[in-house]
Amino acid sequence: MKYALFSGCRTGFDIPQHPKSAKAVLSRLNVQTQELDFGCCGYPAKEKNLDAFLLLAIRNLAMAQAHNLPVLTLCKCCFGSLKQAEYYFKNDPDKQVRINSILQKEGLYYDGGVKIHHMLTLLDREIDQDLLRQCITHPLDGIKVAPSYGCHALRPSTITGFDDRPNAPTIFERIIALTGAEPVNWSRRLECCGNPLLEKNSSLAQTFILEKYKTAEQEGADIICMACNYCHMQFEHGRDLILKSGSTPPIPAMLITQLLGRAMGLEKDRTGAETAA
Amino acid sequence: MPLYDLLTGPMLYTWSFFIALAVFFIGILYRIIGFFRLNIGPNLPVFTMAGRIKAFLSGLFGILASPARIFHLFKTVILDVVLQLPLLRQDFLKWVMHICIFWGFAGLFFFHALEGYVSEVIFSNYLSTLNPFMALRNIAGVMVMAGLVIAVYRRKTHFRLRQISRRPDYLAIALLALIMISGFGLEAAKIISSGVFYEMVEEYGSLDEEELPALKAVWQEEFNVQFPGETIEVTPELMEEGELLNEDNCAACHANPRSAFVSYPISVAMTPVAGFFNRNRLDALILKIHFLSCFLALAYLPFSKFLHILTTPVSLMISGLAGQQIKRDENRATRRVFDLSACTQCGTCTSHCAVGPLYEILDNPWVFPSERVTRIRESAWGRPMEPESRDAFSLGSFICTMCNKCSQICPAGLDLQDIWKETRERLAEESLPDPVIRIRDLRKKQTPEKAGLQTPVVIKPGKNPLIASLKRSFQTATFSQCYTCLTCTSTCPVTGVTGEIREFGSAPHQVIHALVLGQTDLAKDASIVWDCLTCYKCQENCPQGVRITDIFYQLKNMVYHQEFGI
Repeated sequence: MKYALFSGCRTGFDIPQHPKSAKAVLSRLNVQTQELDFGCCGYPAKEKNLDAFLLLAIRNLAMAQAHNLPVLTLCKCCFGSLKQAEYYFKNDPDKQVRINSILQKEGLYYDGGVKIHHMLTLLDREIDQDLLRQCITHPLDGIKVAPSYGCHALRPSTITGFDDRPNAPTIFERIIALTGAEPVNWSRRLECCGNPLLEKNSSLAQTFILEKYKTAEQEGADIICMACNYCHMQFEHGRDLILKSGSTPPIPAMLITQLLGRAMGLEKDRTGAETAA
Repeated sequence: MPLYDLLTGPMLYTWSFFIALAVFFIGILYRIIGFFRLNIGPNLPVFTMAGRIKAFLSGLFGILASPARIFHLFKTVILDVVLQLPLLRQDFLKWVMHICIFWGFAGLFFFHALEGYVSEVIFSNYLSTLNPFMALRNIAGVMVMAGLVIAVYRRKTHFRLRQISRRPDYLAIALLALIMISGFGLEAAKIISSGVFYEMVEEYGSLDEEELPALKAVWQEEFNVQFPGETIEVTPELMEEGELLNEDNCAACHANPRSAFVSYPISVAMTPVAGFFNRNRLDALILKIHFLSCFLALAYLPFSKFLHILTTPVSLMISGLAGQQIKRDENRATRRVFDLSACTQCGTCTSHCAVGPLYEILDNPWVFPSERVTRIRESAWGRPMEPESRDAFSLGSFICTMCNKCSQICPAGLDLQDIWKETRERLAEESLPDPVIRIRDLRKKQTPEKAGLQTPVVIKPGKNPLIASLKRSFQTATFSQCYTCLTCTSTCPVTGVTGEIREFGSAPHQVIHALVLGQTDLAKDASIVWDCLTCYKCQENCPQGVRITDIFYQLKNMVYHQEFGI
C-alpha cells in the first residue's frame, strides 16, 4: 500500500526527525510513502477564518485525490484538521462550491472520499499485526511508557473516528505494548499539552505541560511518548523550562516513530535525534 | 552646438560608458556598505559594521584555509551556479529558461562585449566577422531571446506567477530584449549597409576603382548589401570577377553573412526600406541604441533585480557551504541583508508556500513569501512601510507557519526562515505582534466596561445579526440546545486551572448561555473563548450535542473579521 505522507509544517525546521523516523519505520513494514507538495493543514488558520482553514485543508485532500492516494498524517493536529475540514466540506454545499472554485485556479478539485490516516490508526488498523510483531527485534522490555494522546485526533470523536472509546481509548497503549514496553495508565494521558496557548497565554500553557511531566514521573513512567508535532514541541518547551529552572532533568519525551525505531533496532541516524535523556 | 555634438558625435560612446560604469561602481559600493550596515530584525543587539566585516573576513578565511571546504565550494559553483541543478530538479521549463538567458547572455558578455579582453586573448584568429564567432553570436542571441519568451510566457500563464509579477520584472525582461533586438537589428543593418561596405573596402580592401562594381555585384547578389540609387548590371563575367576579388580581399576576414542565421533573414526582410536606411545611415542609430541599452543595463544593475547576477552565485555558495547553520550572529545578520538582494523574484517560494493559497481568501499579498522579501528589502534600504499596510504585513508575516519549505526550495539558496524569524521579532517589538495576541489584548482592555458585571444584563428585543449568523451554520446553531447542565465547565481543563467561575466569562457554559440570551458582546469578550485550548473536551462530553469548541472558533472568527476585516 502507498500513502501520501503528510508530515506537517512543523517538521520542516523544528522536528525533521519525525518524518525521518516515520519513513524508516514504514519502510521496515513495507509501506510505501510519497511526498506531495502539501501545504498547511489549515489548523493555524482556523481561529482566524473558517474558509481559510477549509481552503488549506481541502487543498491537500484534493492533491491526494489527484494522485489517488490515501493521506497519512504524523501529527494529531494535522489529522484532526483534515478530518474536520472534510466533515465541514461534506455537510456544507456552499463551502464546496467556494473552495472548489478557488482550487480550480491551480487545476485541483475535491469531491470527497480521500482516506485520512494517522500514524497510530495506520499501525493499528492497516498493518498486519503479526508483521509488526516480527519487526520488533529489540523489544523494550521493562520500559514504562506514558502515552500522551493529543486532543485533536481524539476529539470530536464523531468526526475524527480515532478511537472507538474517546473517553477511554486504548489505541496508543496497544501500539506501545507491541514494542514490548509497558504502557503506563497515566492519569493525564488525555489532557491537552497546552501548546495552543503557548504564544497567547504562556503561563497557562506552561501549567499544563509541567503538570503532564510531573504526573507522568509520579506515576512511574520512564518515557513519555507522543504522536503529534505540536505535543512534541510543547514537551520540548516544557523540558527547556524545567532545565532552566535548575530542577532535575525530566524524563525523555519522544515520538512514537522513534520508540518503534528503537524496538525495531533501527540505527539512530535513521530515526533522528531523540530528546537528550 | 556642443550638446548636439555630444549626443551625436563619436564621444557619445565614451562618455555614456564612463557614466554608466561610474553609476555601476557607486551602486555596488552602496550595496556592499549596506550589506554590512543594515539590520533585518529587532533593533537590539546591533553589531557594529566593523564587527560584522571582521566576522565576515574571519569566516572567509576559515573557508579559504580548509581544502575540504574549498573543494565543496568548487562543487557548489559547478553544480548549483553553472549547471543550476537545483532549478532543473524543480521545473524543467524554468531551467531551460534560465540556462538560455544565463549562458546566452554570459557568452555574449564575455566573448562579444568584452571581446578585446577575452576572445582576442583566447583565440589567436578571433574576428567578430569570422565563423564560428558570427554564428555563435547568433546562437547566443537566440538563446537569450528564447529564454525571455519563456520567461514572459511563464509569468503570463502560471496563475501564481501572474499574481506576483510586477513592473520591475517586466522591465528587466524588456531591457534585455531591447539589447538583443537592437543587437540583431544592428547586425542586419550592417549587412544591408552600403556605407559599411564602402568603409570596409576603404579600410581592408586593395582594389582599383574599376574593380569595385564587380565586388559590389557579388556583395549585392550573394550577401544582400543594398546600394540605394544604383543599378548594377549583373553579368556572369562580372560575378566571376567579383568572386575572385572577394576571395582576395574579403573572405579571409569576413565570413558569408548568411552565417548570421538570424540577422541575415532580418536583413532580407529589411530590403524594401534599405534605401532609406542606407541614405540616412540608420545603422549608426541602431548601434547607439544597442550600446546605450547595454550601458543602461550596467547602470541599472545595482538598483534592480539584475543585481542577482552578482549576488545569487554568492548566496548559492553560502547555502552550499553552510546551509542554514551559520554560527556567528554577526554573519547571520549580514547574510539576511545580503540574501534579500539575491532574491530574483522568481516566485518559487510563493508557488509552493504552505499558506500561499490564502491569498485567494484574505486578499493579502503579504501571505506570499516573495512579496514579503521584496517589502522587507525595500524597508531595509530606506522605504518604510506605509502605515495602512502595516497591519496587513503583520498578518501575512504571522500566518506563515515557519514550515521552512521556502528556504529548502529557494533556487537562489536564501535562508528565508531566518529572515521570517527576525522580522517577526521586529514586528512584535514595533507593537505589531501576531494578530492573535493583539486581539487578546484588545479583549482584555474591554473587560472592565462590559455589561453584566456591575449592572444587570438587559435583554434587547429584536434580531441580533450575529446570532442570526451563528444560526446559519449547522455547527454553531447547536448553541440553542444548551440546557446549562455545566458538563462543559466541569470537563474544561482551563476552568479547572483558573478555578474562578463566579466571574463571568471564565467558564464555557456561561458563553453558551450568553448566546442563548442574545448577548453576543458578552460572549465574544469572555476570557474562556480566548484562553480555550481547543481540546474539544466540552464538545465531546456535551449531552445536548452543542459544538462548544467550534462555536468558540466561530466567535474568534467574528472578532477577527471585526478587527482585521478578514
